[in-house]
Amino acid sequence: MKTRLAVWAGLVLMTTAAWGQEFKVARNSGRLEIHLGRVTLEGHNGNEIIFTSRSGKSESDPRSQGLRAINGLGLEDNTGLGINVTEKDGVVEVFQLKKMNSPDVKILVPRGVIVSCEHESQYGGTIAARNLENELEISTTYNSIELENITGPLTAKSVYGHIEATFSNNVKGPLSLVAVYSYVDVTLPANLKANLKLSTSYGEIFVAPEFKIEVERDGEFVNYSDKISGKINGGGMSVSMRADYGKIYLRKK
Amino acid sequence: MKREELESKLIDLVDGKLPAEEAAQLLKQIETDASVREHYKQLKEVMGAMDRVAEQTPPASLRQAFDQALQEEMQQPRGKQVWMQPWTLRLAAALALVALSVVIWQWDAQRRELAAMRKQMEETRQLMLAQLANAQSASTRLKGATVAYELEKPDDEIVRVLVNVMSTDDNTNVRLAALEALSRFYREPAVRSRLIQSLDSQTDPVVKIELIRLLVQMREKSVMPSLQKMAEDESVMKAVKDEAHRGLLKLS
Repeated sequence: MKTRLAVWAGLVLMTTAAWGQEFKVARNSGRLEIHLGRVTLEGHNGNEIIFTSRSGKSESDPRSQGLRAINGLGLEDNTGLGINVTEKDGVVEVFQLKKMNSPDVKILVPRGVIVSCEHESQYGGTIAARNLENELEISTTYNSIELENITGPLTAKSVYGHIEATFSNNVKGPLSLVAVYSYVDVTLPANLKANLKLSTSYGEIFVAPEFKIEVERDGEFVNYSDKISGKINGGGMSVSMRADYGKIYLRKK
Repeated sequence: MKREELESKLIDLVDGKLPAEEAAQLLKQIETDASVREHYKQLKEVMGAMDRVAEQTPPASLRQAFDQALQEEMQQPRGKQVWMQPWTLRLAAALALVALSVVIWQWDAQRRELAAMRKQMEETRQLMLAQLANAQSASTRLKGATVAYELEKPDDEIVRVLVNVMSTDDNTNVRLAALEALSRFYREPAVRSRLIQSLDSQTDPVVKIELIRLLVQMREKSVMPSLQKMAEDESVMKAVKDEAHRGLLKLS
């Protein structure tokens, strides 16, 4: 019996080690504000926000044993993952400690938590989310945004990065995706009822032939940029895509 | 003799219908009784007047004219008179009544519908303002801005809120949606002046690009000094500078 328990404990330990460290915050409502240059979000059914780091052993430094990492913002690593997590007035805030090298953090988010990601620095990677049914707000300057099997509602902005989003069959509006220099690539269910706004100034717009857009002419201001406003499947939720210098791709799921 | 009996006898006397015997007796009474005499005199006068009226005959010319008119009327084709018949008139009256009640009912329904619509519009307005003020969720604020986009005409408070959202909201997408809603009402002088005012204070480069584009489209030359400054400012994001440059070219 004892040996069996030991083996089981060892297995658990090994898995934990394989996943890197873990940090949990009990919460299934309110806002989660993430200020990280690189993050992967995933939805789950639990009641805890679970942070794990996928950064490898290279992060660990034998010399730092027994010491705490702090940074110029006065933040300290209170998770062991290279990030600082604080909770205040129903808002969970997440900061990274290193300015340039963002740790590769994965966050499991319970349903009902509004997720906000904001990152202005040019250092970092991709903001990714998958299988997420939460309300999502992503605002970046340099980071690209890649979303897979999400429901929305979504507001996403990237000035220099691209935005890719594949929505599940159960889309919740409104959706707004804005890129300036790069592309916006969106996949929506073919039967989605939506009021569509697609606009680019110097790019192009490509739409799957399955989407029959009933174009509404505003009468004015139609020449200065490529702007399409219309209903698909009779109209419904607001879906807006914009790429000033980039292209817009609207695909059918 | 009772008064009524006397009166009827007096009338008969005047008419000359009273039997001679009774007439003589009555005449004697008239002579002796002053009050009866007085009554007799009055009756005679009244009845004489009535006789004279009855005897008056219309002048021949009038009669002739009437006869002629009658003849003419009788010679009118019968078809034309059908609709004047009472049953058609009654039917017409009934139809008119039905039509009137339908009109009144419709008017009332319309009035009630209008009131309901007004109530709903007010509710939508309140909901929209509440959505725009939701600090928790950018998507809710975005929804509010989308509702504002559908408005026919905004009131002062909505314009103020939209301008505020466009200038101060934390979320770029929400700011853009508010600007988009405002751009639909650019003809309103209040909206126009607020759009012009907000150009310099706009902190979000993506929104600033769109705002420049809109003001240039509105042929708003008063923003040219601002555009000039942006085009020369090294700290301004390149995309914004480029848009300012293009705006200057288009406006000059």
